[in-house]
Amino acid sequence: MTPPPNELPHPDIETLVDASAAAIGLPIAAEHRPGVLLNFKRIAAMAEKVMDFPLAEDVEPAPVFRHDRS
Amino acid sequence: MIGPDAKALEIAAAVAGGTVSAREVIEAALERIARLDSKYNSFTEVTGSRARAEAASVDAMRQRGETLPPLAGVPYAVKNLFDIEGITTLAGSKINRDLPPAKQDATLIARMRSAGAVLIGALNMDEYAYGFSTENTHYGPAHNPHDLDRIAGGSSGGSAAAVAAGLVPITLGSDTNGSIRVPASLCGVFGLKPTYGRLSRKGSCLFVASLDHVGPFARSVGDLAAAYDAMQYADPDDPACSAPGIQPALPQLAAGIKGFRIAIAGGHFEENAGPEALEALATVSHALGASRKIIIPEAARANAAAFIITTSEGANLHLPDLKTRAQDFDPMTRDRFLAGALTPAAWYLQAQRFRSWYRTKVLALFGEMDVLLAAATPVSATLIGQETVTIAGKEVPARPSMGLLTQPISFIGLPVVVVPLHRPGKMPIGVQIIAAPWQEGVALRVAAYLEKEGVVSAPIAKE
Repeated sequence: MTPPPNELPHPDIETLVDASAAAIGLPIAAEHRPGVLLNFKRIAAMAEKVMDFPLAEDVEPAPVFRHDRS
Repeated sequence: MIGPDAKALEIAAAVAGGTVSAREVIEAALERIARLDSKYNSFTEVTGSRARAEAASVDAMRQRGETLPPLAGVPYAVKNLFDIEGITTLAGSKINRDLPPAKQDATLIARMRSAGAVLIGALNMDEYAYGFSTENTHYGPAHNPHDLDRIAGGSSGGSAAAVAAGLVPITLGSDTNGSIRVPASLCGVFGLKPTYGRLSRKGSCLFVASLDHVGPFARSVGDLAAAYDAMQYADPDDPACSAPGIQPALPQLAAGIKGFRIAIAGGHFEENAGPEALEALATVSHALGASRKIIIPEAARANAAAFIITTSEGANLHLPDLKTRAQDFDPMTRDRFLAGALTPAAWYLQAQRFRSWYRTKVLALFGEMDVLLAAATPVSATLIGQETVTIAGKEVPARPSMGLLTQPISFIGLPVVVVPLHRPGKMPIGVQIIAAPWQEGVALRVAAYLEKEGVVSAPIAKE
């Protein structure tokens, strides 16, 4: 049986979290680290769904979002 | 005499007609808050002096024989992320206590004041609006007035609870992924999340700039429309404000629903709704004669993309504090903010590009319908402290799951009215009336029809 995405082993997640935090100067206290890893795994699971979806090159991001313009 | 269940428009009519003074209305509201709110914990600040001054101003206008504005003498309160002049804007946090008091009112408060409404206080919320439960560690949880052991929903939990308890007839809240619609559903009150860009967010503490909306709660559709109309304003100080003009909803409210093509959201929206949510949806659909189902494509993926945008933008906003004082964040939000600050740009940008794709697909559906119905929350209010809930036979985390049905709609900013259903012996639950961009008036007309037919209502909770 496949485990839910949040419980999948993510061997690279710890490396990514620690390296990114160091790179942007964000200290992660030891007591917060397990919770941060758990939440980052949740983000990664969500990202998997988004990154899996094929988008044409002309689909632009909408940083200032308007409904009435596409 | 004005009772706690009086609607805002009834109060305004009584004040304008001279049967009660604004001062009397405000004193009664202040007394009720002082007597009852320790049970609900919906207020974090009561602005008694200001309320008395604003009420005196309304009463003076009447004594001078001036025509009173539409909400004259109506008490209201705001989620504590709106700036109130002279008061520090907490946004549910401990960190913001160190900030100076706000120099001026948020635009929406200024608009409400112009309409004669009287600000009576600030309301409890999840820290920085990052939650669906208002279980705030710093200020305590907001309690659902219909069952004090249960959550009020969030993040505008205090806003929904104060209306449900009959403390004020109107409150303001904000909605990024469901923070007006979830508490409206769980507390059994009406809520309006307008189109993204309709109402000004100037002077409200942002959470996720590209997803943040602001709007009202009320106990009647008329009050909801009156508050919404009072707040419409093309604010040059909010870069997202882009409405095609002021479009008052109240004058058209009783125009009925003839000619509206009303459909029911299937797929994701039914699969993630529990039995009581489906029952409420069926009741509303039946009353509207709606049976056609429409599938919004990739709604689950929309949830995922909204999740990524939320965590990235929210964390970026608070990055300086996350770096220097992470221990001062609410444990309910801290680890999520810290993790969000590390989200790779590729994920965020793909989520924003997916959003463009999804918007195009969903807007195309409005060629064949005018209104879409969906349950507002998968279940009714859970217990305070409850960690999991069963949806579609699966045990899932309770707090994030409350937004499963709201998030794919606000993701592309569609206007939604939540209508509440009260069932004897059970907790209330709401249904979303979703319309095309800028068609708030259509959603409000449908809500008004349901209210007139007796299908939806927002009675105050028993004391």
